[in-house]
Amino acid sequence: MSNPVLSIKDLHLSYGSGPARVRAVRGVSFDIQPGEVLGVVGESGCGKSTVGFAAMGYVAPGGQITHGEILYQGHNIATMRSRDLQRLRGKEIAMVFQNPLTSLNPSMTVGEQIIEVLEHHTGMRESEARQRVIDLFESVYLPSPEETMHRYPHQLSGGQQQRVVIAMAMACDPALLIMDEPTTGLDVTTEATILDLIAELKEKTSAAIMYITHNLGVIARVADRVVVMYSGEVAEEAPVGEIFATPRHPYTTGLMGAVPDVSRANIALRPIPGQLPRPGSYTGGCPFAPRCSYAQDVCTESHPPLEEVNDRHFARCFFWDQVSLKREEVEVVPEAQKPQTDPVLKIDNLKKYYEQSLGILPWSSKKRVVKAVDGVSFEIGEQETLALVGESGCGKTTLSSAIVGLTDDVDGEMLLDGKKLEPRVKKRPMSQRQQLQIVFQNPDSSLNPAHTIYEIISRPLKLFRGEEVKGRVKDEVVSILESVNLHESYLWRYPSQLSGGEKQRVAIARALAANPKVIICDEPVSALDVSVQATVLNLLKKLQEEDGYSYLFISHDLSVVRYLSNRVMVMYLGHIMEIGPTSEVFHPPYHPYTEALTSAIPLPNPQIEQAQIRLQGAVPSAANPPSGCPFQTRCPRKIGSICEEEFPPMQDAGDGHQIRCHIPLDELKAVEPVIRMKKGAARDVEEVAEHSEQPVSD
Amino acid sequence: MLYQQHNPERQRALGGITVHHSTIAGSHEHGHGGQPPGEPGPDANASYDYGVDDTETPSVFRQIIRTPGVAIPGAILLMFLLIAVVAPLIAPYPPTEFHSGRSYEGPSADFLLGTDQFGRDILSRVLVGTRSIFLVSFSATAFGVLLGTLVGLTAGYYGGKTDEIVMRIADAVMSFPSLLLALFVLTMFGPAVINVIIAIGIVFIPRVARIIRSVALDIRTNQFIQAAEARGERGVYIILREMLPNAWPPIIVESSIRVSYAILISASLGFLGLGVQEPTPDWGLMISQGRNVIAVAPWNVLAPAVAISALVISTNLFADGLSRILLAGGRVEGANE
Amino acid sequence: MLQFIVRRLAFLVFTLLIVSVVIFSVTEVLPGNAARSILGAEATEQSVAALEERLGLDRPAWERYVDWLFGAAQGDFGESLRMNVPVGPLILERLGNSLALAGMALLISVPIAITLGVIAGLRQGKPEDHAISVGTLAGVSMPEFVVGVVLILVFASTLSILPASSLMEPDQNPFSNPAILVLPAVTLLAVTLAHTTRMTRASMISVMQTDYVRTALLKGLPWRRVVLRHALPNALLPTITIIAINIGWMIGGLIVVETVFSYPGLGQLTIRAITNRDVPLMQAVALLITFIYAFANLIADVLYTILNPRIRY
Ligand code: SF4
Ligand code: SF4
Repeated sequence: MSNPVLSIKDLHLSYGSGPARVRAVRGVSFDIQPGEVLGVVGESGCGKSTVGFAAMGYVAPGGQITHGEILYQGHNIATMRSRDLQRLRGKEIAMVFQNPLTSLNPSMTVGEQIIEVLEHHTGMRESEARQRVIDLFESVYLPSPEETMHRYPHQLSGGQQQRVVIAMAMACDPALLIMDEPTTGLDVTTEATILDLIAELKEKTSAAIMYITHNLGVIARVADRVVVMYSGEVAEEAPVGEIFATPRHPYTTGLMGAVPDVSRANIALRPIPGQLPRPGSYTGGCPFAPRCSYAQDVCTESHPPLEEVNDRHFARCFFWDQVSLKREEVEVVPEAQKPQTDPVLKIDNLKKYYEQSLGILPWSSKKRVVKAVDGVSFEIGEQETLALVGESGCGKTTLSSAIVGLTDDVDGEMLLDGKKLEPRVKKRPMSQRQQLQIVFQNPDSSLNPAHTIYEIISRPLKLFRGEEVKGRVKDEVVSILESVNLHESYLWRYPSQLSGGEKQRVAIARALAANPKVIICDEPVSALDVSVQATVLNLLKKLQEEDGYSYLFISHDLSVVRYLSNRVMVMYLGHIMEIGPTSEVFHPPYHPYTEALTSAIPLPNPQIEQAQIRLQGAVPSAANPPSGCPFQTRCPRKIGSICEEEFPPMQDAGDGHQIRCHIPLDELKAVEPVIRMKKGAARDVEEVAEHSEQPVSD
Repeated sequence: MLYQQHNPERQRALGGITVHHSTIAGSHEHGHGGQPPGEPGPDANASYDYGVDDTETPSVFRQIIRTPGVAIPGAILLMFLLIAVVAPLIAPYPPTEFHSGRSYEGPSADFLLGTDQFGRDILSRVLVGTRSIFLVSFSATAFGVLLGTLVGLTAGYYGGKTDEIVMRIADAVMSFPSLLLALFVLTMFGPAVINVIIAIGIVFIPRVARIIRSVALDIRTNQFIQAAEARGERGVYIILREMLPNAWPPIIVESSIRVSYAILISASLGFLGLGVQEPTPDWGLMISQGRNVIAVAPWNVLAPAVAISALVISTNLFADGLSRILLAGGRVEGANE
Repeated sequence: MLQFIVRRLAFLVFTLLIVSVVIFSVTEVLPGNAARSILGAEATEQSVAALEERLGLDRPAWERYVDWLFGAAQGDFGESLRMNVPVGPLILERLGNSLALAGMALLISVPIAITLGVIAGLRQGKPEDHAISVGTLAGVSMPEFVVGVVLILVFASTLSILPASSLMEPDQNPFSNPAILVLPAVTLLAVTLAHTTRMTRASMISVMQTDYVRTALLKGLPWRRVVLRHALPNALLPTITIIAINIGWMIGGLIVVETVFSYPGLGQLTIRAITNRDVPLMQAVALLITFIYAFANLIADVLYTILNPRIRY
């Protein structure tokens, strides 16, 4: 084996001092070889980014490296003088950041920001540097590089900004590249193209790449080797295939069992019990012990060493040899079937246009119409979950706020239980308001931090069911809390005293308090850490089974949708492109957009092969939608001028499965499935296939 | 996000209940969970949660006591307040008592800080002068902050046309420099303590409204507002029950800053002869009168000048420290005038 | 861009209209009979009536307002009641004197303030920062008249090196005897300096905490370049607005400072107009001051827009 580019040895890093000291990173060691991608995966607060920044010799104010070495080509970065560090940074070690917009200087053109790196590190003259930037931009597939150079960051789309940051990192051909969640915050189709780009870079350079992410799917796609971090420590380290096939740390197996996966739709998710430890809360023993099902007394008494499973696989667990991924033993969730009942909620040809003033003058008459939602119809049956999927700007947020009555001027008809819903919530009778509740994305934002849990839940209770619960409001609140698995002792707490998953359960409890029929769930798990997402998803499932709620489940995450919903509706630019039973939608015939979305999902399963269908460019503005088919500007299957001229019809594929496309159904049916098992896939998947009712490749 | 992120803990702490602070300043993991505006993105890292923590963070009062930079000015302020309350008892002479034949005397055992042109005891006048300055600045602040907060919250909550109109008017009013506006209001109503209070209050309304509006706009982006709207709650409920409790820390900080401006303006008005009128002792007026005899009797000017400076500096230091404790980002500079 | 300027100009006109209405109504509702309150209780009925006619008080208010507005638009603000001279030329002359004073204070204070603010911002929490912060906080806290009076005490009464009062002959301009400018200018400067410094510091601190400054550091750029090329331009942008706000602050300061030093400027004229209830003069001065302040803000907004690549029209 050649010499590692980066070798971190027993790194300890802490923030603050005295009793408030937080030991954010404890005893982390790993190497990265040239040409290798090391994935560092973990949830928030596990110290993964801190380690990444430390590898650049950067410790945030208040922090310090208390022990250990960070050896770059044998030189210790931890003790390096800043002058020497400056020579390395940007030249030999470069970084790609999580949030490209804030990471770029808003008042410099993106070209200048790269030119200065070249001039400073390589002494290139301006004209040379300029040419180099153009080459770099071409290599990251930025459109018209010469023009792009002269743009400011805010004039580029999120994906383009990230390409600029990658080009900047690649400018001096670094030997070590650190990528800190480079695709977090991007839409899934954009993420896929960036991941492709990274894969391509990996082929082209011999740089060692440290790829930091929370997303197991992304790790499966980009990494050669994986380090799993938990609570500031390395929990497990193994080659990527091995970590997914035979994980040996209970946390790794827990994560894998908690993350929904489109390719393993019929396996129940098992949340990891408990909650993430706060950084700095570590007191001794195994940090995972409070949540670990294998834990024994020894785990709290002494700290487990990093045990060798084989020469490339290590797990920090006393009982690693007993740990295995017990996916095949878990119960299988029955495939959801569409219940045959009258629709509880029926939306007919809903339109929401708004005017955007173009002129700067207030009296300017130049206006354009933004068609946020443009003729959407669907219905939701009793005890049914209809998922609404789409990327940013597809109109899903507008749609949900129109349904709950927070939007003016909507066109079309909404019927709740057969009765007309007024567009404004103020005009709706109390009983309708009660029957339609919403759970928002981010509980930090949807729960008033100044109110206690009791206040939060009792408000809708008193408002909607005041008569019914008179005199026993508190008892009722307690029983609602219990139904979301929260103890009575939470009554007088404030939201900030709860963990993320608990907060979201309170938000659900608030919706339940009204005793509704339909609950709109607007990305209810996307703000949560992966290990607690499953808790909330399972809770939603359980509540539906027990009390028969109907859900409109809005999400960008197809895996979550696949796990939870009976039917799926795919939206693009204000239109429904495809709607149908979940299993049908994930199976040809697909709408070309659904096909691309499915192909873009990062799957936490290296034994699955995904067709590589990528969308170019960004979603067009709803203020200036393309003619003909809304998807025609990016459609990989576009069949010609008809797509540009005529709005495609809804084609019925049977079973309530409808596709809006000009391509004849038979041709769409003949399309290869996007998700396939790799040839000669290993045991794990086969076992899964045996235990599920349908083939994995559905 | 300035106010919103750190409100929960601080809000509670103000109420006397102490709560932990769940993020660690300076750690990268928490620094950049940003997400582009618009629809929710796939940012699973957006929440930073580490579960329940029962360790107590000191209450605001505790924190004030522990920070000398805030505790000392706070103590000085308290002392001034105390003086204001008991001034007539501790003043050696009635502040308006003439001692004929003893005008412009220098400091002596009889008159510790000397006398003015009518032979009145300067020490007594400075001590009793504390009363009017406290009365004026606190009442004016209360008046201005109360109305300004209501206007700001309302404009921030309703947004759109309401906001546009209210803020345009506020902008127009603010294009009068503070002192000039106060002068005009006083000219209209005539110089009297109550009018000085009203004048300063009016000066404050648009300025407070502007700050609180930006706070309100921030709070408004929270989904608990949408949740309340989806329940069909009335505007008054949302403003008073959902928004106001989250606006307390900036309101308190703004009030403390306003008090110092109120002292400055009322002293300036006094100096210009349009504030509190003779014979009531007023520091600004004392300086104005003493200015003419500065060469022969500088104590006439120095005593009130020192008093006023000490008072405003400690108010400002206190406000500064308070904002550091209550608000994450520190005092919002630039928004004041 | 042009549209933006037009829009801002429209707002300026709107502001001035509102302000003119306010000013007019305020002077309209002055307590009691305006003419009598001007002339005093002993005035005869005839002279009151005469003055009322001169003021046009016998006509309806809106008519007088329109008249006044049209006059004002042409620079004709009527005649001062007390000084018996046309208001227009009078305030122009005083305006010149005030601009000399304010301009000098601004020219000196802005560069110093920005330097101090940047230093304090970069050295946050270090002794330099503490010194600057506490110093400026004291500066912000001192009323102008206290600073002015103390300066007089030291430099005029005690050291006798500078004049205590800045009285001028009517035909003099401030530069014919620069010594009289020094103390008022220093007083004005002390206060604005403190303000601008504090605001620059705050803006520098927030810029130094941004992700893009961290990016610049992690690109391996030298500290100097990070500060000068990446932090400073972004930190100084808000300073433009700050300076405009300062101008408003300064006008308030001028009123006091000119009174302290008997400096014949706009501020002193304002006080005189108010204490004399010289209605036309009051109206003119108020309108002019508002105009200056609003105009300074407009310039700042336009500059900000031009210099900020994030906003492009
Ligand atoms: S050491 Fe014990 S507690 Fe830790 S992961 Fe292994 S079994 Fe679980
Ligand atoms: S109608 Fe044409 S452009 Fe639209 S999805 Fe079908 S093939 Fe693509």
